[in-house]
Amino acid sequence: MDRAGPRHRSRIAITGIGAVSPAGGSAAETVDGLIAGRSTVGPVTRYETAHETIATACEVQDEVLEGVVSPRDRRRHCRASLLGTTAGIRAVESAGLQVGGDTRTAVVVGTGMGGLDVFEVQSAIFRDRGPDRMSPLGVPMVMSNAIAANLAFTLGWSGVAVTYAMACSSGAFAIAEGARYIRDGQADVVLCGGAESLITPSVMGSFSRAGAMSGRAGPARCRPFDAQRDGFVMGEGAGFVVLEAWEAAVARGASIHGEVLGWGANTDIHHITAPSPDGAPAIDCMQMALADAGLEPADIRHVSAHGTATLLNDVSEALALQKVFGDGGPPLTAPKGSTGHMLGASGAVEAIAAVLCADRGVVPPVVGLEELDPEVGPIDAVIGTARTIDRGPALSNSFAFGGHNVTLVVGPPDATTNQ
Amino acid sequence: MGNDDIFEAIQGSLAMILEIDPTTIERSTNLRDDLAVDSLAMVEVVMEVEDRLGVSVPEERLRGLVTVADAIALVAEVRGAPVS
Repeated sequence: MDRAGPRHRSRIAITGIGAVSPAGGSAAETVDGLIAGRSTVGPVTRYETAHETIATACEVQDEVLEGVVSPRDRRRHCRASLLGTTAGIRAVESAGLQVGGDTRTAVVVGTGMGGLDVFEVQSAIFRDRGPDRMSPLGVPMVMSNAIAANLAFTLGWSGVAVTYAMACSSGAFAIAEGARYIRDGQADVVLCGGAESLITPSVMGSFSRAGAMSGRAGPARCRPFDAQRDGFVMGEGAGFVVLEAWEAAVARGASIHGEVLGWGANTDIHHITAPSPDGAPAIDCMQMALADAGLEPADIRHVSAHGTATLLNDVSEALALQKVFGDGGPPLTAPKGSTGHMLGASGAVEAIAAVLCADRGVVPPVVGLEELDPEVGPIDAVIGTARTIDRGPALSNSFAFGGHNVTLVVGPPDATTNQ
Repeated sequence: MGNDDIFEAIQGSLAMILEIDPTTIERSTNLRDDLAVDSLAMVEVVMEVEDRLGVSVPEERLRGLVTVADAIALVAEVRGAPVS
């Protein structure tokens, strides 16, 4: 199908990519980790705790953050902003852009809770030492829009900088919105993606109490779609892409890493934390994205599942995938088994990984998956080692607390060409 | 000169918060022009100095500070010691 199609809308080129994740300081390192089937689970080092249920996570290693935000400026970033600014600036650097005064820029960021880590520390200072000892930087670090603001300030981009809070779909929706800016001609260059760092005692404790996190009975492991799964392991990270109109990217001789082909988004109003058992909203969301991309289910070469390894998500998502793709369906991976759940960053980092995997023609294994849960419908989850596939479009799901469903369809630079 | 302990506290606090070499900070150093200390960083520095010296500096007095020497004089004043 001709995606330039009857509406003559612009194709959306991905011309820059940046990521920091528990698997490394770049998108390539992250994908290498996924393909190698590496787990990044380890003991929490960001705080001390005697509580085993909040003592395990997938942390970004500090050394991969060097070189973007200066030591002096780090005092003015929450952890999510440090991760996001690092990944975002690296994405822009990789795009080789020359942004002039007449370039219409946009920064679109997704994050679930922004600087909650700073809020926790400042709340303790307030309680223990009073308001006069609180940091004057508290509010500008806690505010969820700090990541977008810091990116715009660092880049010197004065176009709109906006933030979406949609829990674990935030980063995916930011990419969809960024793509829409390009498609609708509202911006020439968009930096979009997600950032999150909520490896904090209060968030970890709360997720554990909600029954969403692994580790309540034995060592924490994230095992998407496995019969023994018992929830996710907390991760942190950031992923950003630079988007431009295809013709403009070609005209300036940009290296095109891939393409945003389409997207869908809706709300599962079944329950604040539980998906509809019949998967209907997820089905609609995926079909919306496929239709937007002008693709049929058979065009999709691999699926990057939301795959949180919670009891409810994986059954519901597998059912929805089965309805969209039929029994079996395309080869499926679930990055959270390797990286943990990067929450608001996950959808962005996973979409970036899907682009690179689509380009390399390989589907990473689902780390932690040993025996497919019989309750999970017939899906073609990749187990053990990575699988070679034809290069082509990929579908990436993000389904969040709050019912926020987002599906992105992405492809390698030469996906289903109709040029 | 005098008030060496105050100078050292201010120098050390500035160096810690701004991540710079303390030996680059002198009494004549201009806080805004030489060190790019803005109003938020100033509050952070003063909090650190207060902790180090056990004094309390009124925030309404910070606006008039230009140099490190001004800051030393202000801290010396609130501590009740003679200004050198």
